[in-house]
Amino acid sequence: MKKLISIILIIMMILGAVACNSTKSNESKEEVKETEKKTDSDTDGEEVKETEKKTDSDTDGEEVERKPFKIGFSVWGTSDSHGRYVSQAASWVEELGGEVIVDVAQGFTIDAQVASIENLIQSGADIVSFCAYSGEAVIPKISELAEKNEVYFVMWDTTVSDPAIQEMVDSNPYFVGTTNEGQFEAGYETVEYLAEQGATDFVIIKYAIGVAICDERVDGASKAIDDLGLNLTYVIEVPEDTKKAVEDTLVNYPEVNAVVAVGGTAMYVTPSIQAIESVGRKGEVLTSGFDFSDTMGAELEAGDLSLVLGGHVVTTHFANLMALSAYWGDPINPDKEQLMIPYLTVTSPEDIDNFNKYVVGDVPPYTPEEMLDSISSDKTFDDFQKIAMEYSIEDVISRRGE
Amino acid sequence: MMVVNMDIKKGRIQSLFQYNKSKIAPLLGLVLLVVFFAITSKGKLLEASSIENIYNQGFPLLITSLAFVYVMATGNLDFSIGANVGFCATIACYVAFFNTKLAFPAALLTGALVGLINSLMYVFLKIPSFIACLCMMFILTAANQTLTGGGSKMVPVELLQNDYSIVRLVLLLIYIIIIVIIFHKTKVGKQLEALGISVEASIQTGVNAKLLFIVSYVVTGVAAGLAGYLMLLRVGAASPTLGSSLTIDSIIALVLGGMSILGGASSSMICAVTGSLITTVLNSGIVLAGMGGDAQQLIKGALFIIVVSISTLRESSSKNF
Repeated sequence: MKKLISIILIIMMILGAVACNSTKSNESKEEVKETEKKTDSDTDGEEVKETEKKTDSDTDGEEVERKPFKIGFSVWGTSDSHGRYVSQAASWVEELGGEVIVDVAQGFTIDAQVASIENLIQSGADIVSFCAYSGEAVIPKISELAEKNEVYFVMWDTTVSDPAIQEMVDSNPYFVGTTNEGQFEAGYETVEYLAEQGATDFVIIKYAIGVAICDERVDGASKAIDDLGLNLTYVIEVPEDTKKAVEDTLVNYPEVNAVVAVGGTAMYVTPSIQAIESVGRKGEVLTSGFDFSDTMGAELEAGDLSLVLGGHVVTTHFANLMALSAYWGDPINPDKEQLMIPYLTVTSPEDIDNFNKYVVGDVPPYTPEEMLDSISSDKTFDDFQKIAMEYSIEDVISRRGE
Repeated sequence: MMVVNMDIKKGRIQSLFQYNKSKIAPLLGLVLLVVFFAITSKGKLLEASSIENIYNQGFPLLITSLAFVYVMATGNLDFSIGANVGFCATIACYVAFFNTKLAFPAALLTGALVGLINSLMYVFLKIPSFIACLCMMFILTAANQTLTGGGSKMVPVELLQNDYSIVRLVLLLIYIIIIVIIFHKTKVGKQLEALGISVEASIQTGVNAKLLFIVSYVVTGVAAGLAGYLMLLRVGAASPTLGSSLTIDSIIALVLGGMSILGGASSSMICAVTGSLITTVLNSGIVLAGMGGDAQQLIKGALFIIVVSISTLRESSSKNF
């Protein structure tokens, strides 16, 4: 009897969750209509059609059909803040009359990511949007899947370092492009900032799997250490137990006074802070990380964390816009160039409050009109790049007129 | 007289049902799962392309979990199988650059060798099997990491461009036929189950326990080699993480399929097939049904509980707590 009751309760829970999902998508569709109605009045009689098939006249008078779309978005997880934020940002384009399905791949493995993309294509996605977090060797297979199924694909937070892979994807008519941040520069700036705070002897925590963006951050940080005459004391590779690894390092190298994690603030910086405290060196060792975490506000306030580079959530938004323009037959990035996205540098709890309010709050930082305008036919890739590089909390505030 | 006959028939049906309950309940769970996703995905799950998708995603798990039955039947576990899959794929990838035809035998031999070492550590050095396999897992992961330079290694272009779906299907069928026949139609299967019930009693009855333990680990090793090679063809690259989740997934699949983690008489190949299908259909169906994002993990967890609840109904009569 107990088992039966528990099964019934679970079924109710599932139905509830499914219902929540559909309610959410209905709500968002209603919101789109509301927004479109608003736009009608805002544009002084300029017609923005409420039908699903919208059109946009380009400069030559040709019409771009904005057909409904389904974007399959593959992510490593939504329990960490970066995964959650990029998934949220990926869904902003739903306001343009489409649907974004988020699939959380089962692990950081190549096979899990391939399976995730296969499932998304199978679910009817017109576009797949992903980050090659399992390593860039996954890209050829996904490229092949996309071409075979005639599905556009775009990569965010991704750099392709292998020329053979780059050539392969460039020759694929369904490849749209990539978005990425200036990783080398970010690594460089991190060390510069910590050096200004008095850091001299550095430990770098890096990923061991071939994630090119992390390697670039390490290169940038190492270059800055060289240029500024500082010491790179030790490099830790993907520690399973970060706290223990940092504790051991600090005990063996007491001269270390800065720990730079080139990825995963929550995974690597927070345990590093705990390690620094446990070896009795709180306040003596500076820390920095990439990607925002849920605890960074408190850590910044307590002085345990010096800076975080992250908040590049728009990386998925601009990738999706780029892919949409290709899907609608008017690609904003016909040469498949890499779109650069700026990092937000956070050094105080106030910065985080503003980020939470203006970027990942209830209202997306870009309105549907701004989204459409950024990929309209009269815009070039350079214009699009300029809009992407203007992304900052101040930019959002000023566009909202606050 | 007639009443007595009917009672006997009823009793026979009951005992037959009782006997097969451990196999029927998970099948029932699988059927319900398929029906659930067929409805929620508006029929997409039953389309030919979806079935092909499930096959493509499920075959590595099917290969490893079928072999895992051999080890688990004896009451042991092979924690190195996932790492072994990745290692075999990497070796095959390297060999393919010299000769693509040698990649397959290289993967099989590598896997078998790893299995053999595992078994020798257990049988002759008397190292507890899970410790030996855990150590092997660490060694293989580190070796794989070193061979791939911490990143990933693409297969030669000719391997990437060819479609190996027929080769894969043929290899898979041959593998399934052999592994099932050996387990269910020869004395090997029964003796492995006997070892899972009691090693001492089995030895007393003349079972060569050492040889059987070696066989069981070599079988999982060969399966790792096969899965590694086929996964390499499927994803087009070797990496330190390739197949790493297969150890846990295989154990989960077998338990979901109705097999006891302690091995013994509940061991059956059907457990591996049912469990692998449940896991793969669940992963694929949830996306096809459009249940993405935050709700995905919740729904997956809840569905798992339902399937396990149905699968374990068989035990309710014997455990009154």
